[in-house]
Amino acid sequence: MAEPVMSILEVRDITKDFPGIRALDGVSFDVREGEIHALVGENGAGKSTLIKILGGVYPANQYSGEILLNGHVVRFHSVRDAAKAGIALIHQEQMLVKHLTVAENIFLGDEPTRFGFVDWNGMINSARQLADEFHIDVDVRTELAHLGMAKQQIIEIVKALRKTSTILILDEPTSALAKHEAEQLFSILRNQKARGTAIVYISHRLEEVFGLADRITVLRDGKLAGSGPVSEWTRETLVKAMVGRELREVYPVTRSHTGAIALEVQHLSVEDSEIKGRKILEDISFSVCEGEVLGIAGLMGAGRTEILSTLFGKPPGIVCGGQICIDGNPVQMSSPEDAIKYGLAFIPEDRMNLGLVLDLSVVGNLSLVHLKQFCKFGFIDNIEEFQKCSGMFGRLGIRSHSMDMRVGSLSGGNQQKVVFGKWLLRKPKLLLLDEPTRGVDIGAKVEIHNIINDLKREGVAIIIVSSELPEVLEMSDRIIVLRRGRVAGEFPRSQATQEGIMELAA
Amino acid sequence: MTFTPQRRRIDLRVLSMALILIAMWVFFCAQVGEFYFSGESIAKLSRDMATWTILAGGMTLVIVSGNIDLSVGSLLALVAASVAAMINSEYGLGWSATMAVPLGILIGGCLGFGQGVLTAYLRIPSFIVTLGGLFVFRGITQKVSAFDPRVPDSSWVVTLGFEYVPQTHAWIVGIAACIFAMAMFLYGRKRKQQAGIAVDPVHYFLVKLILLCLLILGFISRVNQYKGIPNQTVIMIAVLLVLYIISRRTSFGRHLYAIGGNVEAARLSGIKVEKHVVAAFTIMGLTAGVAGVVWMAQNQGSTKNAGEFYELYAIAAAVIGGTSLMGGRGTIFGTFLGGLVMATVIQGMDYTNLENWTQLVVRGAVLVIAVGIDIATKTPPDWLRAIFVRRSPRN
Repeated sequence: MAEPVMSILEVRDITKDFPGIRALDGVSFDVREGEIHALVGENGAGKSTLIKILGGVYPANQYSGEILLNGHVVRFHSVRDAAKAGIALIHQEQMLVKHLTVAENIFLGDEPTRFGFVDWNGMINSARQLADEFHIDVDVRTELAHLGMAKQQIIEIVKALRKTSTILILDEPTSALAKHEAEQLFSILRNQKARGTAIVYISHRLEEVFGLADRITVLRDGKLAGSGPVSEWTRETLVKAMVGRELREVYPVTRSHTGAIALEVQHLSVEDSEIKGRKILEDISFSVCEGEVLGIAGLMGAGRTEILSTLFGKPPGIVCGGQICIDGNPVQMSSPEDAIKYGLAFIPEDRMNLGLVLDLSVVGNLSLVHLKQFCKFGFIDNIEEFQKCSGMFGRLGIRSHSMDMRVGSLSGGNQQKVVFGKWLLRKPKLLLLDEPTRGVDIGAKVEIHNIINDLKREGVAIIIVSSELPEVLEMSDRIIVLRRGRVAGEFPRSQATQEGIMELAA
Repeated sequence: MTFTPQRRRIDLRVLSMALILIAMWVFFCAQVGEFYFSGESIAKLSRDMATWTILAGGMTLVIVSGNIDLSVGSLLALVAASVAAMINSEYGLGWSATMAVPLGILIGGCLGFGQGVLTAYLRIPSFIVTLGGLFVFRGITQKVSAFDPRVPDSSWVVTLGFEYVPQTHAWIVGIAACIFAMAMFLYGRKRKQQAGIAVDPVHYFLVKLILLCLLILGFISRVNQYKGIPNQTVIMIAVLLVLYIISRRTSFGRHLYAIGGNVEAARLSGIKVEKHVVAAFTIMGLTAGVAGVVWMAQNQGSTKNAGEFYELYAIAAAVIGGTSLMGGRGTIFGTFLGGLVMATVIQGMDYTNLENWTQLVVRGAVLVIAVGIDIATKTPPDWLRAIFVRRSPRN
């Protein structure tokens, strides 16, 4: 790269305070034309704050420091200002309207009109052109809710790029995507880069960062912890810069003695409740022993989450065959209550919508499943509840200022630990984990892996589903691979490789 | 960061509500004069708020669970009409009140149960189910109370609407309540200390306790200058206490908050969502029954348009008290304060002899302003936050 390349967007000495917290402390950062600049750091390091300043979410009078666009100082007072300057911010949470069609979403707020009315044909045609341009295989008239997460994410990017944005900022775009879906996204990003778009990319997945970025900047505790071209970084130096200490092993390894078979699934099939004959799961058989971790690998949509929710009494369709045995006895799982009665615990993929009640306090969430345990004569014993739950704080390393804090105000890693905690107030027999470390920073990830290994040592049977293959490979004793709702193969830990699994899954 | 168990100290929203109340009292006192704080005025305030504040209590549970009940005004009327018709001996059945009152409350509970089943199991939105209920119950009320059933003075139920707890008894009740509160406070504090949980500093603890006792005893000494505590007030407080305990101290209550906050997470936590919703509506029905009996007692009978708009008063009281219409948030104590705000406005304006239309305008404005203040304090400006809200850590 020729050295004196002009920075298209630059920030200098940005400092931003929240009440009681300095979120950013004198951070400088820039991105050039035709470059992908990765921004990494643990949760709470200040990445989101920085890009919200770039995107105009925090108006110019709420921070100190300056933003230069093409060398000129600019002050954004709103998201609209930033958008006018060609900056598009794609949030971690999607900002699309689920019940509108793809075309409507792409043109939301900027619908083409004829004589003052929405020009539907024009809109659909231009949406189709855009879809072709980005190689997305989708009917632009479908409701967004019917599409997978990956497609939705890509449509959000299309929406942003349509307005000829010169700077694209993405906040963890792949946290919900499977590997091949992420690849699809990356190829779009690379295309855009070739066209001269400047891209700021936030991710927790380090391998992505190395595969995609030209430069990497690391933030830690609101300060710059390092910045340089990707060639100057190694995985080790990057992790060290992020956490400020060296993590000896990202995946702690535990061997344990496996006991009797805890769960056995025989020929389980689930049929779509709307489309007759379409099998979501077909002839699934496997078993897990006490003290064993079974990994389930597969592409998104292969039926991984569906297996877990079926086991937990919430099948995604109609169970049309097969049998579930706990400790050798066939059981009926017709509701989550049943599943809990048999000692199952489920940590769902989407902790905001399925795992937590964000308005309840940390204690309220921790005690939700086993509240009866604290009841005396039908009344909750607050003190005992408080004590047991604060015991969870120590055991899981939950960091929160107070037990009465809304759980929604904790960081992602701590929220996830709360989800673990609510199932661990009573030792589960079988723990179902769906993407247990999604959207969690690297420090919390290690802690969560340690929790999983502890439980395994205590003899809990564990099933883990993860889009991150290294996680499945390292945590599991055995791995089954799913493809289109069927079991495509099984590996013991010693024989499992990423390549072998992908071959079966694809 | 090391973790020390602790609990929050000042609830900003309760504080803002209390300030609104005090401001209104000062304002009306300036308008009305000394009579405003007389025993008679206070007794009547606490008496007149009873019916719809009872409804507001049940409403709080329903709203917390993520639903709404628009039928309660009509349900109150239906219960009032049925009880009156059962007791009335001229045109009605001529039963004794001892029989009619529990039966009336049971009718309320059953109809609430029915609406709950339609909402929870048939998945018809509660707004629609209870909007239907609003019309249906009002219609039946018109039939039942076609002859405007009166209740004779001899029936004991009338005392609920006209009698007072006499002065000496009122003092005993008040002092007992203070002693009970003190004992509970001390017991809770001691248990917390034993459990190693940080407790409020002594001065803060004492201020809270003394303030509570002063409020109770002050109220009683005032109303005793008139005739004692109105029976309706006693019933209201009893109902609210029961609802308070249900909402705060039972797993059922906690589960309602979880359901209203995030129904899917609640389901995946093994909570039987449908049963809880049905139970919330049943409790709402029972409270509507109690309110209906009280209404009937204080009017010595029933009319076709008993309790009209009460569903809206109840919702307003709950919402002013900080209950979120989205579900998952709200307290019985807040609703009580909300009821007090509403009652203060209504009574205050009666004193000022404003025309009816202005009264309605002001009531509406107070609702919007109170909720506006509540929302503003939810995201307080920095200077206010610096004073009251503890800083949250960054993780």
